[in-house]
Amino acid sequence: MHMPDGYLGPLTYIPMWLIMIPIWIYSGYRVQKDLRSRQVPYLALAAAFSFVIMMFNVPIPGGSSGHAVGSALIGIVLSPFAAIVATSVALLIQCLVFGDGGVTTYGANCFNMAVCISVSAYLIYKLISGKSPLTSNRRLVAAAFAGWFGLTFAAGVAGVEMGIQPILEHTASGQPLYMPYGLDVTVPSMLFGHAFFFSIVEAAATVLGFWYISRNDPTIIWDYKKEERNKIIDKTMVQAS
Amino acid sequence: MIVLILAVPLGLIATGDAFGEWDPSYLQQQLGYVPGGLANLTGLWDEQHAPLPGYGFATQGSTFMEETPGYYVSAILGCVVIGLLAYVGFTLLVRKNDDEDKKDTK
Repeated sequence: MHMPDGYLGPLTYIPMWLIMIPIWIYSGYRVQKDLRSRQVPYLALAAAFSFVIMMFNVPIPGGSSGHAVGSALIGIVLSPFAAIVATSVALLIQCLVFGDGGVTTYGANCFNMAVCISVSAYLIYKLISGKSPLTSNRRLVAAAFAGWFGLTFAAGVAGVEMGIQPILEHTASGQPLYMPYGLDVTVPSMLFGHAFFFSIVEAAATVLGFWYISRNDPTIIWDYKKEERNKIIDKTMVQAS
Repeated sequence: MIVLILAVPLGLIATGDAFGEWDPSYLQQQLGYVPGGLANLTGLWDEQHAPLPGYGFATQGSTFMEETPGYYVSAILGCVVIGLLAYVGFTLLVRKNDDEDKKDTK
């Protein structure tokens, strides 16, 4: 999903850069509001962890390859906003130092891998876990599915971004100027590879990470106190009735 | 984390390019042409500025053994740089909170 320079035309990559600017600013603001210095080492570790996870390319039938990103876990444990910042940092270094992902496409790559994954994963996780206790199995199922969904959804979005290129930007004779394959190829290809392979890795990484953290150091979970408060309020309501 | 870094060369076994991350030569082969805009923008940054393009020192078509040292260097260097950058960045962001928390407790 690290789209190189050349696969998206300016009609797409410029708006994607522009969308990211307020997202980065707001994410920074939310990190400042919601997190504390105690969590900073974990945030740094999260960014590095995301980078390393992305080095594990998984081969799939057909000869292609891909990788998980780790943003889902970061989004659930440290907040989607922290995940957006951490993953954007990893993506920045990957782009500038390793040439993985282009500079024109950096905005889009961040939107797909930093924003789409973490936000959708967090929402799915909250939806499935409801008010269940932090250490319950329901939470583990929620984390796994969140990881799977987050990466798959992001892949679909990337597929759409690439697939609209031939229609959007082409020469007078109709030849595509950027990604030459249309939606009918890009979306199924991205969804297939991720849903059946790479997203499984993301799901596994998410559930394992969540399992470990919820049992060993749950207090670093960003909305932990809110969860505990909800449990207490529910208990008192039950007692009162 | 250390286990992950040690296992990093496993990521080299998959040799196929990811979807949509192909070299222009692949497109030339598959389609008979390279899209104009793509040809212009390819390698915009990485060809001249990326110190470790492709996560190593090897070139296209090198073997697993040749690529592995570069991959390790990339993994360690990447973790250190990213970890430090994230640490400094996040510290600057949340620093204000500690001052405010202290004010509340006084």
